[in-house]
Amino acid sequence: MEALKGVSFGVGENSVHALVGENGAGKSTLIKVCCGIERRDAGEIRWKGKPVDVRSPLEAGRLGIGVVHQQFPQCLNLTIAQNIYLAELCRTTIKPLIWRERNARAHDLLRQFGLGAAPETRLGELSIGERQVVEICKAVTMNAELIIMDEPTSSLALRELESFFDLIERLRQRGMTMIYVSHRLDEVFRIADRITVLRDGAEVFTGKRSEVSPSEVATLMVGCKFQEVERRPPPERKRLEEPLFAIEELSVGESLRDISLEVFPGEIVGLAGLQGSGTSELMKSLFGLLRRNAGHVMMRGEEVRLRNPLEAIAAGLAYMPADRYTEGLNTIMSVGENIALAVLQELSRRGVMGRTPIRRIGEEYIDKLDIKARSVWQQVEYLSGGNQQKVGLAKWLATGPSLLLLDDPTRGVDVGAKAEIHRILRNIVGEGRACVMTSSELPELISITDRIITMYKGQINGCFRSDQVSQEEIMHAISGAGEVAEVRMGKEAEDAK
Amino acid sequence: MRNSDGALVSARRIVMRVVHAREAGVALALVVLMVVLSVSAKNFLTVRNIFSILRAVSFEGIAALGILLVMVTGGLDLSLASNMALSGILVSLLMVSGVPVFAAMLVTLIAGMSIGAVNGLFITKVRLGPIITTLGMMSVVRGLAFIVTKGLPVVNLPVGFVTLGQHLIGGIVPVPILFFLGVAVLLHLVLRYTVFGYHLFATGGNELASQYSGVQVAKVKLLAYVLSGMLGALGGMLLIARLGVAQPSIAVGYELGIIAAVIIGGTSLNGGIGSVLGTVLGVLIIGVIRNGLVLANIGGYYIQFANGLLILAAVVINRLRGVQD
Repeated sequence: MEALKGVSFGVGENSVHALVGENGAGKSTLIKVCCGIERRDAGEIRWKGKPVDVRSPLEAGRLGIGVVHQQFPQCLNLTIAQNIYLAELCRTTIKPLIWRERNARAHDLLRQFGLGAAPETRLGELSIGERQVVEICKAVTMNAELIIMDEPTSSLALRELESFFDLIERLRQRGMTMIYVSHRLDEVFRIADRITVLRDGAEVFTGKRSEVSPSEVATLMVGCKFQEVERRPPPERKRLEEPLFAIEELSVGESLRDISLEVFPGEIVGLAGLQGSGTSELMKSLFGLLRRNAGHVMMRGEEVRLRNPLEAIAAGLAYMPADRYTEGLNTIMSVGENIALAVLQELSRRGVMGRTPIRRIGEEYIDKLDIKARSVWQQVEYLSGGNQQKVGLAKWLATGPSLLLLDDPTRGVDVGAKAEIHRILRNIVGEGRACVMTSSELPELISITDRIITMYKGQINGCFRSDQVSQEEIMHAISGAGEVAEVRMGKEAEDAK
Repeated sequence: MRNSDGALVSARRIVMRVVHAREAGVALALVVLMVVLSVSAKNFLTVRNIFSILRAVSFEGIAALGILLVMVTGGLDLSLASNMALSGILVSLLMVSGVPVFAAMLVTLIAGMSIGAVNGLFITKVRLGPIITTLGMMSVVRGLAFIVTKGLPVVNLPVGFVTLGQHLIGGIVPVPILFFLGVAVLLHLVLRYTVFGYHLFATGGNELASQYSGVQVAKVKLLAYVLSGMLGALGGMLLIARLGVAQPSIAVGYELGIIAAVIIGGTSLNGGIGSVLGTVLGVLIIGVIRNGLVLANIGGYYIQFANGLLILAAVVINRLRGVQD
């Protein structure tokens, strides 16, 4: 497989060069080549005008290339200073380590980058954003002149964003050069001097920020695939129709506050929210996986107790978690066994069962959902992502649910499988059921759902008809911009008092 | 013509299934080992020797099947050998003080289950790791065996009980083998044909996914440890019946051989994969190697050495299989 082909661009000294592209465009591969994790088949890398052969991350570091990976490995049990000077720790033999001087240096460095924590603080006590600052300090102490940042803002909380941009500015003032990898265009246009767009492993554009507009870059990123979001008219709703499912003033610890929501039969409701907004937590709490401290949940007008998955399943709920590998599927088990897992008791005769009922229910759903598997006994591990998701759906359809909670059901599946999953969801809700789902892609959420509920910091802050809303409106709501956020900040200030 | 074609196809399918089965490698190793020993040692391939091997592995074999249940859920039980010893002591003390054989055995089985329950509760409720929990229990239970006997053997066991370990049916077949076989068949059926069996595999395969699918993983794990404790007690009692004397120091170090057998039988250390057939084959391999070392006059010192090599080989083979997949 070719991950990258014919990419060439130059990065000017003391500038911020953004590398943008969709998932799978080759950004990560390019970084890996630059810092010596992966080898290139052809082409050359020039560093300060001279061709270099970067064969390992160590060598990259020696040249002055530092990388801040998306999930940066750190020792949470060590202090900030110990993490910053970890490389020195490795080299020191039996010489005693003098921490006082290092702590002082780390202290200065942390101040320069706007982090107030003492260098003796254990890293585990810091937030993700603060840890990222530490990681950048580490690159700076290793005399990096070029820092490559891979999706640095993806794991940051919204309030950490500002200080991050501030940090970039400080680095620029120190004469640092940065390659900034992201697919968030608003950020890119805020900080980058130059932009390179990758698509399917090829370079499609390199130029100054002033030469392009964000919408042009968006078009370049998606290429010919770019199309206007499809709209569906909402289903006819009879007046005075009873909601299928209702949540009243549900709260879960710090993560969810006063959630009230009604879902009607035949409806697909989208939950939109950025990381940390509480959409996943809402689904987990409904399925009895997080203890709620207030609120009622009604199914067809009757209150249901949802203290554990068994009760939730009995109440007619189904929950497909976002991460199918760690939470969703038993990948070392077969397709049939996965599909039957939630209904084993019903398939058995008082706990005794052969393989026939598993084969039957497996074959039934392989047929219904058009799952591409060699047989019901094939291990789920060997299926494609889309087919794995269909197995996950099949498991829950087998329980005959009234309401499906789907956390990003099309994550990491190809376009064709995505369309098929959409079709399946449409059919499901056509039978008088309903579905609440999230998606990592807003256009998808808009095209498949009937209504979109936006969440911000654990609260619902908006409700939109999918056939009338624009992506910008939703982004506006979920990023907490606008008056709702201001009101809340005022409230928080009151709480603080 | 058509019929014979169909027969051929299904025959080939059966052959392929056998070849591809996880147990195929273990079975092949066992066969090779037995062929080598039959050629090199005169006394190996005799009815008497084969049955004596089978009897020798029965006690640990029963315990190994218990650990299999635990390991399928992704756990481990290091306390089983100590459990065997304490159970042997308990049943003997009860019988010597006049409790009927059957009642004494029943009480002991329940005691063994209780030890398993303590393991299971620490692991599921207090959320301790299986290794550290059962390591602690291994010492506690062994200590109890010494405390209640003050280190002395319990003798004068009733004849009816000793028969279970020493009698040869028809002068050929030792009784413990029947127990081993019975437990193996029963557990095979449980693992393959019950909801509980599926739940064991599901829990070991992906605990979160199973929990989210309504499997009560804590209960499943607890039950696995309880059953493991019960099988440890059964194996311990039969071992004492075979020896005729209950000593608190019996079965010291057995956990190594037992766990080795389960791993050699293709059970995944991460849980979710394992079978009764594989475990039985693993137990047999260890038994045959021990027997071979004795017959070849190589001596007992090499037994541990060989056991260790076998474990390493089994784990490496499992790893390679994983890489290949």
